[in-house]
Amino acid sequence: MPGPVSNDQFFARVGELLEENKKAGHGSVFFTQKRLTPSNVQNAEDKDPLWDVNLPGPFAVLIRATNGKSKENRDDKIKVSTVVQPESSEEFFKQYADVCKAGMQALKPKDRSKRKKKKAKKRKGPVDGEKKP
Amino acid sequence: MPTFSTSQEWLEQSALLIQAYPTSTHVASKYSVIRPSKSRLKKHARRLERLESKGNGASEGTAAEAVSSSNDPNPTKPTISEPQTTASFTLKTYSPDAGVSLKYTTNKAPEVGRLIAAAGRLGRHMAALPVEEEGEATKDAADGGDVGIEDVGGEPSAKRSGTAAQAQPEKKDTKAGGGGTGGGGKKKKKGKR
Repeated sequence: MPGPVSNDQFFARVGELLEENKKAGHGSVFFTQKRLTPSNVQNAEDKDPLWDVNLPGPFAVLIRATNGKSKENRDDKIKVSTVVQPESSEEFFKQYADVCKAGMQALKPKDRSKRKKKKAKKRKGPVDGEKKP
Repeated sequence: MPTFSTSQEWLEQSALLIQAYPTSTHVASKYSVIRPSKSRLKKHARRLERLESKGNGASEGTAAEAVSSSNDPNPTKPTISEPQTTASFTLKTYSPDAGVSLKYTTNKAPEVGRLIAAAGRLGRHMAALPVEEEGEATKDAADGGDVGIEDVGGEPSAKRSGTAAQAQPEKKDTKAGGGGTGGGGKKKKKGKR
């Protein structure tokens, strides 16, 4: 398995994943994020179930993305991961949001029809009033 | 496995879960597009037929469209050139240690940016970084709208608050102190700083 790529590369690959999904017209893209615990941190779970609550941070966060192809489609599987350093997390998630917003076009767009109807009603209202007298 | 009706609620509960189990909890999101079903395609074909027959009858296309849309029980605008695919964006926080998973599903595009920002916030919890107080949070509740809502079962939510309550007292003893029930999200964040 290839290791984590740089954040910029990750965005490019995620963009490709979403683009492929769009071309196919169906399918899913999966993302996960979790803490990247350094290997020298001991797992003391046996003694205390909440051993990790007060670990001295900060930690990096591992982000993965995949198209979820498995079993007979495994050859088509694409997976990519990146490590987000704590100092760049804010910047990363901003870019991440932009990439996702651009790629997830099949979701319902903002519904403006109701607002238009209301406006039309308002416009109609006074006109009727003027006609009556 | 509770599914929340508002992203805000999901974010708050997920933050609590991550704070209690910061190394094992992960946030998974899924963007899924489903092809239109057969019945949908049929419906679409029928509608096209109806439109065409009406278009032939009346000389003006726009008039025909207007008529057809007014006849329709749920008037979707006459942009019926393609049957719509169904897309959804699902967020899931899962902790294998606690056995809790918290979900939120939406089908609306404007929410994506906000949800990724929420994931970023949770990322800060995971990274054990200080999290700033949420300011723009409340507006989420207003546009819950036709979000895919499943009822939250009584049992899992009880279980959830149970785990939260379990997790909280121990942490609070070491810090601020105070009553520990499920709703103390903000208090906890302050303690974390």
